[in-house]
Amino acid sequence: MDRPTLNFEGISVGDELPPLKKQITAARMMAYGAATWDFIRIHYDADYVRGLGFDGPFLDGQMMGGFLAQQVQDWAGPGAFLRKLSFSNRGMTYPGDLIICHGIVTGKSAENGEELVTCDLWAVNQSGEKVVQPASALVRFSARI
Amino acid sequence: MDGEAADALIDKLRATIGMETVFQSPDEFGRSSFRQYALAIGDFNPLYTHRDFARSHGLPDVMAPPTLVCDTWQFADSDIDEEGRQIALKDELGMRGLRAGNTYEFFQPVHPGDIVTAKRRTKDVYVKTGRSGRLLFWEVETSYHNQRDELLATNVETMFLRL
Repeated sequence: MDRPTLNFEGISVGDELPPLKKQITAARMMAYGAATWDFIRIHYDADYVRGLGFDGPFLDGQMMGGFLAQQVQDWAGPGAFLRKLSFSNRGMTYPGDLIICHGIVTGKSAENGEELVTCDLWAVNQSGEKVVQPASALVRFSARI
Repeated sequence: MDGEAADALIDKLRATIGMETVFQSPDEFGRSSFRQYALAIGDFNPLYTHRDFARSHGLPDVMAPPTLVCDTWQFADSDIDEEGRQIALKDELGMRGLRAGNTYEFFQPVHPGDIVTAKRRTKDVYVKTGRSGRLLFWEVETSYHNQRDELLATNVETMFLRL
């Protein structure tokens, strides 16, 4: 987090991003709903959500994007800018699950003064099931606009 | 869902293709919004909360956690219905839709003084048949602009529903 930005020259295709672990709790899900002004009951009201045919309150899939953005920004460092982030959710995530985000560098380019790195990302839960895949990020390392 | 209801839903969603809904935030984003989202994610990067740290990395002020602008509905500025949804966000899919994924593009950092306008439109509606039957997909594209009409980010979200 609080460390220098990675040196673009030192990044290689195949580099792994440090895994990021997230323990999912009802409290964190509630905090996310409040922070995004999204109060839909499927993320906290057990009776209501079972009435809709689900097993219980489940994670808002958008939170995965927040976790992946953190993983990439932590790895790249504070001077890097996340230009693109794309992710697909697979299956449901519930309170009590442990999510582990992974990533690997897949490409590098330097054109018109823009130093760019692409990464493939994915996330698994404590059972090894893929909960996010595919996912990818594009990161700019050159100076901010 | 029976075939007739499914077709009616598809028609209703398709009718929204190209229609744009604009959400004009009534106020600035606010630095506590950044801190609250960072807390929810558990992402304590000082870029989002410490002005001096942000400045030492070339920013004029703290920046929002990247995905916040695309995730928040603080711009919608409406009351909440009995399902917990902001009334301004009510859509044809209702509570039966699940998230297939998102594609975000970020063009510049978002700062606390930014007053955001979000423009949302249906991009595509399509049906896929898989092993578990027919799935309806709904792609919604939102663009986010600041008070200087500069593009901050775009977000294509894909929701799906088992027909």
